[in-house]
Amino acid sequence: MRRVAITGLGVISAVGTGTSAFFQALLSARSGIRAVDIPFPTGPESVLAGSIDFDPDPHFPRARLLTMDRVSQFALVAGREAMAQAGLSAEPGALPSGLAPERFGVSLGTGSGGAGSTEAAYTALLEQKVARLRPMTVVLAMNNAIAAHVSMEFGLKGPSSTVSNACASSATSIGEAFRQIRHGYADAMLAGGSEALLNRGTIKAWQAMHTLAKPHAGGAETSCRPFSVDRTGLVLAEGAAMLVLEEWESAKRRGANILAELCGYASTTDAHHLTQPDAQGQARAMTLALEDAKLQTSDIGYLNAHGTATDVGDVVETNAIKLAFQDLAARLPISSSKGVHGHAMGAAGAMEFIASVMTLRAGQLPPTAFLENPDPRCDLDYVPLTPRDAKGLRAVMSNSFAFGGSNAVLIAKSA
Amino acid sequence: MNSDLINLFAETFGISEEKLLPDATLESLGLDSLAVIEFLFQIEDQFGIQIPDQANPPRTLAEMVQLIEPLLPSGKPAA
Repeated sequence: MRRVAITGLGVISAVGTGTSAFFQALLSARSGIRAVDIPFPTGPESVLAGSIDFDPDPHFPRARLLTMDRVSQFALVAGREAMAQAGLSAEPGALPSGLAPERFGVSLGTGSGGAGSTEAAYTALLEQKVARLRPMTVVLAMNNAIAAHVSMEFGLKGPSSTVSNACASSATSIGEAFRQIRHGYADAMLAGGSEALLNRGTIKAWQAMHTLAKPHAGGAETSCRPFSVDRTGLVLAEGAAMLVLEEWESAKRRGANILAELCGYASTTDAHHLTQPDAQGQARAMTLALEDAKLQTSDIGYLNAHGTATDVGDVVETNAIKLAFQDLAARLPISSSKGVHGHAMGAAGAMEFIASVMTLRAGQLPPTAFLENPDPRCDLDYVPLTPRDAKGLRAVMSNSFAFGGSNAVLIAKSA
Repeated sequence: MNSDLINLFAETFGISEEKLLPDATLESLGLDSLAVIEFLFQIEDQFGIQIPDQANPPRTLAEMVQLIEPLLPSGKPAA
């Protein structure tokens, strides 16, 4: 079976653009979450969000911006960084010999796609009462526009797909890209996810779920508190994260710098409840991913938890980890990085898998931010507050669990 | 060419006005057919006019101006 190398990483998030700024923020538990004023029709409201101050003009010509939702812009910014790190030109048709564009695909995850464009269209239609919509409306909003823009940017003509599995979207898209290469349908894939959902409708819909965090007395930036006894919920965030995956031998032949090996993936479904997670389904995903990687529980030296900071989610994940890792669960260092970058939904899995790969390479574990008082029901080693040295890490796991009962687990090991 | 149109074109697509020569093809300016329609819609909204559907959409800047200019009200744009 073909092995899969990770050769490039790219991220844009509430804690900065670029993997270096991103990982530094995780290590120092410096949160990018803040209170943002949103102009709802009923009046402005302060909303906690992992939002990005992003000026697209330096990145894209204006004629092109007319065709791109914010979600596609994020994907391209992260994709460019990943391709550059992999030593691959950003120019279409300029791939090195041995990497045929027809064998280089795109696999993207998104929860809401061009949600901002969808909302703008409804606002124009229902609020401003326009008679017609922008000609670009469909191509701005469609979920696979992101993959289309990425493929055009880099001239990638292999398989292309868009996964929408809510919070597990981009962990699944990376896993499916991994299988495309492993099973010979592609030699390289640009894989990841993007999300730009901080619009009025999406925020109101999430508020109605009663799963969003309340502002914490310690400051807005401390409001997402995974595994903490005083956690109050998740914080919506935006961003994108992309990885270049390549068939191992092909990457070696072209002299690529291999960052890590993507060696295990599993996807399971709870078939249980729309919003209530299920420890059995989550544990089964972790166990199957280990089997897929041909690794033992003892090989995993760090787990990046889904850890959204909802009451139920963090407890169920704790129980799932205990089911999957048995006696070793208590000794496994685990952290959730969502307290820092928020919950980037369809981009979260990719963002956190990048965090996991960077942890593996750095030998430093990013802590769980703001975990001053752990919930007694979340009684595992959640690496509170400060980073921890972990030299000799061999393999890391990243969990992503979604509304709808979709679970995806990825495993990377040292190159 | 009509300076209001050229200004709007330059602003919408972020292209400097010195590049907007009459014979420049819209394609060479980085506009595909959807972008052209987007611009025509914008013109209609801004000037309060209706541009008839085109069997052959304009190919150059001059053709686009020829299509729009006769429909423009005299004087400055409404918005």
